Amino acid sequence: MAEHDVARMRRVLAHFMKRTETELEEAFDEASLPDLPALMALRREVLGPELTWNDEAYLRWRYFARSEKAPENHLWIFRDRSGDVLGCLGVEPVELHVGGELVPAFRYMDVMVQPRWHGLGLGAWMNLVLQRRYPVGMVVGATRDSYNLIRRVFRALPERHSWKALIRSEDYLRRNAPRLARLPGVSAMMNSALDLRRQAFHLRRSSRIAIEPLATPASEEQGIAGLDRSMASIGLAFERRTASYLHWRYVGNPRRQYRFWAARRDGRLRGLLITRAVNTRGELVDWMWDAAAPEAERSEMLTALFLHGIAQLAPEGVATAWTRTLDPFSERIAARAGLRLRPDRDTVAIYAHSPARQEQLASARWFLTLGDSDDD
Amino acid sequence: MSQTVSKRQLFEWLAAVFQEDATSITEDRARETIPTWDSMGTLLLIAELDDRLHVTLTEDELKQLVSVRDIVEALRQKQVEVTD
Repeated sequence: MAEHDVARMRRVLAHFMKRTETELEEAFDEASLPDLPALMALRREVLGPELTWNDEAYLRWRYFARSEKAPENHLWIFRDRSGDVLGCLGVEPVELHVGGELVPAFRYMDVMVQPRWHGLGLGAWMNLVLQRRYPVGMVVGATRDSYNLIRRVFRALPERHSWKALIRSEDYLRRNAPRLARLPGVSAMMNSALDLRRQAFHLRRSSRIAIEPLATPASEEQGIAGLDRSMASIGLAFERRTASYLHWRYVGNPRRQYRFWAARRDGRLRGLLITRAVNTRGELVDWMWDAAAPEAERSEMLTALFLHGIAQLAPEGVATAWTRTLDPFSERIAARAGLRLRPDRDTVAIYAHSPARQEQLASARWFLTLGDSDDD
Repeated sequence: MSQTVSKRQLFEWLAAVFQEDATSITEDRARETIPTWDSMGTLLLIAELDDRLHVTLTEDELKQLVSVRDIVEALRQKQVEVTD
């Protein structure tokens, strides 16, 4: 974005905020623990009072707990003169596999603006300031209000696709065939048919694939490193995954509960799937696979993992299973596992200070999942 | 001193701000049909009106703008003569 336009935006925002431009810059700073009450107040105002998780525990875990296992995340906040937090934006350091390299980058998350200031550019401003600070950045799942930000400041990647599978039929029948829903036994029959469809694949799959639950990805350090390397070796661009990071992110996460499924063949880890249930919605959050295996083998393995993950979500009371994909292989697997492509898409965008790096990232073959969003 | 601007000139400025083709900016155009009229677009719009016409809108006035026609009316309220 032209520096001239950034300067004009700074001038206008300073005017709205009743600050000088210098004061505007100084009002945007890194949050520390004493800011927690004001941060929680902002989040209550934006997210609503009925949160299903302990938000203080979430903020402490995500941004303020410093341990060797936790990434050094930062939360930037815009304060008003009274100390209230009017906006915030978090960043997490990641490493991106791209073109045989590991590129340090920052994933943007937890963007929020106090409702009174919605639509006046504070969110865009915070993004612009941090973009000057962090040389490579990625934002996932942008909203309509960040259209300009994505198109003028970041580079948009191909959109992520959304997939859905029906697990339980009751809600679906009530909405789409209410008369049928009232007939005794109809939904039970439909549920049995859905289960049978999933079971049919399991019966056909190779007995050499074993799927088992994992208490934590931390127990599979070598295996996950191997999967990560194999996926990078076929030229996919994605956030590097390590066992310790996945443990921090998904086992330590106070906001949601996750389940982990390992697929093994000949005793070796060949695939990993992470799932969660959010109210009545099951989600296939993240997965990895042995990209060095022959196509038929990895396809069968990952399909089996998807089906198993979906089947295991059913007892948790979910009615549907969802996921997001951005690579052709995962999309073939989603279709094989009975998920249906939905019309909704979301945007992923990147930027880099170096034009050559930005071009490299924009033209890479990306692998992205729900795990790359920030709603965990 | 009051300012005067033709609609044609105003719409050209808006087209540049919203990165749209000049012919697509008409008085009837609603904000929701202009994807680049988001919060960043709003800031750039305000900056443009300030630079060109020395007009500053308040937050409340900004939040009322849901169409190009609203922009024309807002300028007239600020004593800017917008001619056909």
